[in-house]
Amino acid sequence: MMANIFSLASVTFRESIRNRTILAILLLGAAFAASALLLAALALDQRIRVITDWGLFCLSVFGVGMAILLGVNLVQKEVGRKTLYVVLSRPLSRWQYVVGKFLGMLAVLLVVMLVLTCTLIVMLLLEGRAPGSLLVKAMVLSGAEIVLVAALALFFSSFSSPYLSGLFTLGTFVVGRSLPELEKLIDRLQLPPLHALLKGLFFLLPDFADFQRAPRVVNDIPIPWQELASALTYGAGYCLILVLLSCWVFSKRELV
Amino acid sequence: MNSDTAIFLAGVHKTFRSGLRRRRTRALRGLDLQVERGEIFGFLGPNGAGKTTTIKILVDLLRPDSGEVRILGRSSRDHRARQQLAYLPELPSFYDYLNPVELLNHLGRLAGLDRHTLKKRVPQLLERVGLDPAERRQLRKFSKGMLQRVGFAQAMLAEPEIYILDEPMGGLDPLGRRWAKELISELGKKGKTVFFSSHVLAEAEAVCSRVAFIHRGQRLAEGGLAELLQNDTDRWEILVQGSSVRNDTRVAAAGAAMNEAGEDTLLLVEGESELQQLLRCLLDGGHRVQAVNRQHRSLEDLFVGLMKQEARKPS
Repeated sequence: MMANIFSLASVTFRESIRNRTILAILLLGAAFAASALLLAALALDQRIRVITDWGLFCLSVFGVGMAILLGVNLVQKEVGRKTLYVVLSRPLSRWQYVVGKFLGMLAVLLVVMLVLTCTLIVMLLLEGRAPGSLLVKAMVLSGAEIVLVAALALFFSSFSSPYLSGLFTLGTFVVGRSLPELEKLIDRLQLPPLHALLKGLFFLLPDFADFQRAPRVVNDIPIPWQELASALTYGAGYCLILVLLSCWVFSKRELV
Repeated sequence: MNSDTAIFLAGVHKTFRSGLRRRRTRALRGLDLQVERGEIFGFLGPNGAGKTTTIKILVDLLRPDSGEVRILGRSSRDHRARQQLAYLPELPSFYDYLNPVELLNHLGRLAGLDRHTLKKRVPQLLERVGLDPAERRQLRKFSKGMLQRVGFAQAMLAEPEIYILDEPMGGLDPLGRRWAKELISELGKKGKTVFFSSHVLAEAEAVCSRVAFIHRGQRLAEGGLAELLQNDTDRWEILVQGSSVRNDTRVAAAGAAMNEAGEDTLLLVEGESELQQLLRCLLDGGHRVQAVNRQHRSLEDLFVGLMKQEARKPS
């Protein structure tokens, strides 16, 4: 069982990492992160703040973008191109296929995150500042956010087309990032019949704002370990539910 | 169903729904089929007959609405049923950025083969399908025919009992088709069960021991090749030198159909007594008979006949 999952993950990783489009996006991300030095030149005495802020922004944007791109194509591309037919005709369960693909995608995302974070760290070192634990915590939270987006994309792609999956994932991400503001808004609007319904919906949606710590790093406000652990536990739990749901949906699916 | 049954389908129904109005398309209507171990079984029918749907149900890519589907006695839903099964899809597609060695190693691991076995078998198979010179080339650079050969290699990887091949000659050039036919015959000689769908009836005729015709999701005919191709009518072809026979009213009155065959004339007649009468007419008329042959009934004739019968039925 583990050999099957490992083999699927390894093939997914190799197939993605050799794809020139993926490599081009990764290099573009690294170039964007490195361009922090140019922006810093305009910032006079705020160079470190600008480099950190821009680096974390690039990590988030390119990481989330890559998670959506890879996630929505993970299953659907193989269904469309029928490459999964010879795989699923082997004696393996469909959940093993989904888990293997997901782990392969996580390995690619890990490479993306490593490249972007290393670029940020190099930029900081060039400015004579070593990355502190606050920055590392923010990077870890950003990584958790990217993994959660990938799980969301995988879930949508287990039953809908890549375009729709991309749209659903991006929509959920944008709403999830704005949840605190949206909750304040519905509290202020005073719409009793809708209030409970929207509150329930917001509870079900992933709270991406929980992973957003760049402003704290820039302003040197500490992130307690407890807060970090709580956000990571929430992300891991949500991911697990999404992967389980994806396995269940895909195992019921007919491959016409 | 007995212990020698490799593939068993009983009363299999499958309906697809499509569009906003969820329009129903009945792909299979109570299909029954039984394939014994060691048979090379041709699954034939026109486009849209339900061949690929049946094959996808056998490998559990689709699930039937009702009916029973068994592979070597196990339900097709049980993933252990696929331990003794290989599947070659129609015009197969593989991972673009892998090479054939990586692909076969991956699929071999999924089939439960260990590293040692794969190290030995993968190069042998690539040589067998004639792809050893391209073993390190990425699959996106392969032609259709080469991908079909990779498809054969992946099917033979775990040396299973049953081979399910969907249009296995697709994408192959004439030499490739001959190679594929030899390969299928070889599998049959080794005692393997081969279940394959095809549009190319002449090729099915050349390799199959038994065939079934399917149309609109139902089986029209099934049986051994010899049994199905047995002539139920005596049809004869007579080749007569020259074209003067075409103006002979006595020959025309004998009820023979006349066709041009280059400068000569080909006469077609049904029944042995009619043949004798026609031959007498020809000899009396001074025509030179070059050849008399009993017409052979082909799978194509049978297929066309079945389709005509079906067309006459009210839908």
